[in-house]
Amino acid sequence: MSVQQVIFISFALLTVFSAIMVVSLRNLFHAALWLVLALLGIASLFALLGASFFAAVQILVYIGAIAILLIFAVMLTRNIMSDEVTQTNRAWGLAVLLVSVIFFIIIGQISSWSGFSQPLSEFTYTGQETILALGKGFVSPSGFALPFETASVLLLAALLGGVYIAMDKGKE
Amino acid sequence: MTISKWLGGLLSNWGVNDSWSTFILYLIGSAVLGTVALLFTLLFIWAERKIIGRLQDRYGPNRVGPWGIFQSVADMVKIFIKEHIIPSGVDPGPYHLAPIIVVASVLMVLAIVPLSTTLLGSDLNVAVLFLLAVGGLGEVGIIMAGWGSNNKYALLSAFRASAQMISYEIPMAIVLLTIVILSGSMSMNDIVLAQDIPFIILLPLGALIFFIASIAENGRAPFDLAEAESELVAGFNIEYSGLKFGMFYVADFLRAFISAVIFSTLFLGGWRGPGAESIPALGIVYLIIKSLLVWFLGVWIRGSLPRYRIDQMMKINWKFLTPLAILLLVVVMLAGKLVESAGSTIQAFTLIGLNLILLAISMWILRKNETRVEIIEVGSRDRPVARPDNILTKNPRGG
Amino acid sequence: MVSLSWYLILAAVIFLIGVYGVIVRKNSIAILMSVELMLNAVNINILAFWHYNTQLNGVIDVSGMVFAAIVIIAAAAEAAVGLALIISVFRRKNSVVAAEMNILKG
Repeated sequence: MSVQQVIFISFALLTVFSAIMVVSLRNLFHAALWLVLALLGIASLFALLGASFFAAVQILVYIGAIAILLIFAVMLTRNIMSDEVTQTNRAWGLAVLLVSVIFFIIIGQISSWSGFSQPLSEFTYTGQETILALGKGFVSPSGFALPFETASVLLLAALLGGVYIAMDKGKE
Repeated sequence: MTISKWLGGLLSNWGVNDSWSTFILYLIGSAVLGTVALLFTLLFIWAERKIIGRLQDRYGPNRVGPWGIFQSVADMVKIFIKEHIIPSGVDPGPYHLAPIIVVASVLMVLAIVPLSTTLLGSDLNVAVLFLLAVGGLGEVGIIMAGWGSNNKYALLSAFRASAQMISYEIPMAIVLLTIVILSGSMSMNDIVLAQDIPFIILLPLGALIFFIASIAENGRAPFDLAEAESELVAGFNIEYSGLKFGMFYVADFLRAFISAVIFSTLFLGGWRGPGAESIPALGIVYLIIKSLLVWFLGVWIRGSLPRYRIDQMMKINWKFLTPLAILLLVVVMLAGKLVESAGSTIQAFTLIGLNLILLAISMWILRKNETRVEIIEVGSRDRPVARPDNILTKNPRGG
Repeated sequence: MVSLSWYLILAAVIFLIGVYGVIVRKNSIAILMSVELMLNAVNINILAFWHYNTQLNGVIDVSGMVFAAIVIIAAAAEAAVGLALIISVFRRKNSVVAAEMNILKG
């Protein structure tokens, strides 16, 4: 087995295990910490794929911002649902069944595709090329300038909307 | 470099696969770097206590060894053999993991610092982003410590610390973006190579913003709200004792030096200096000298300025540093485009001029809006000095 | 070497764990966490195909990276607005259980 395979398998197992912990733990704060671990595992898989930009952005945005936001929200709303109350509804058996059926359908469908077991070679672009390509793709009018601008408007709207919705109007 | 070549040859002689030997070499390299950094910390703790002592007209550590130089070794031994108390009601997972994560997030930064022409951990192509991302990991560690301790002061302090770190990451990121524009690359090595003129000369305002933001990011005085003794007992590490407290302590002092290393890499030209290209070992010396200067400035500020209030801390960031950083970014972009075809001297002078103009305007606005607080003097300003020959406190009025 | 199928299967597994969480969890913050897992699984898929395409064509494939970036942007916006909504609902009803958010019911 090569190094890549060992690294991939260990990080994949880590990610899957922490993802299962995220959806099954009763203590929501612990679930959020496992989510951080799952996101870290996914970031290392991105790095393994050669997408180092996205690995760094994953840690920066997901762990540095979203996970911290989730942890804050858990702390702000914690006393209501104590850890003793069951955190799942009655449909869990049905959900497991549904999820496994979907899994086999997806794998069955894509495994018939010819590129499915194509080995991925080592990524050859390790310098600034990928980032430059991404930047040029984002700002060139023939590329993705419009989606980029739309995304910035979306972020601004989310910022304003988030502040407006969460503002405590009663106490003004 | 020769050592790594020799080790690689040794490993391949043992029949180790090529990619495996790279993996093992990286492991050994990171272990060596981490250990050296942690050993250096002992020295920094001593030096910082000594300097702060002199700044405050005290002796500082002076009992163990000459000039008290072995004080931190004694402290380390004490911390090792101390009883390790785990308070009842802690959340064991987060409580035990937090110090490790905090120390790791500090040490991980070292992986991307180019120590000399040939010696660097990893020439990551997104090193600048990595720098910010690792800061985010530190926040998670602090929140885990605050939550896991099951103590309201620890939790409040963790909230303060994470709010402060998230806020001050924004002006820092924008200034880093300016540097990326000037150097045309996100890799630390390229940034160092692009500094024929150190960026502190081209971007004095950017350097100032980055320096303030990095002090706040480290949570040191005057931004040490997270461990304000008079309000919060001792910060997010109240419930820790023994070795685990020692890890937080080491992380605190190490972070101060590593952010000085980062500052000198980004703004002072890193390992560059006369003769550093031909003799790589000289590069490390230059880097350490530059970092020590920046670090001393930080310690000086820590010893002189009183702590800010939390609303003042937020105001400094959101109403001063962030708008200024955004303005600087826009100005550098536009000016860089306008004088793109001109010679490099004209470009440099344009950048310096614009920076100084921006700085002057912001200072003028600050001056205009400042409100004077009447201070009633009680007694005389002259005070007795314990050591009249101490250069730092020679003036009878202090300072 | 690691083949494309490994990444695809891993992405499918994580996505379905996320789906399971969204269906089963009662707490709306936990549902939001599961949604984050699903978005990340999508990103693994996108970047695996991006690597595959780049390797196949020999030039850097831009659209894959753009898709991944847009997914991350959407996730950030979703988390901000979603958590603001949850906090707002919590203030009004003192509960974060998704089944109890039923003011709009006739």
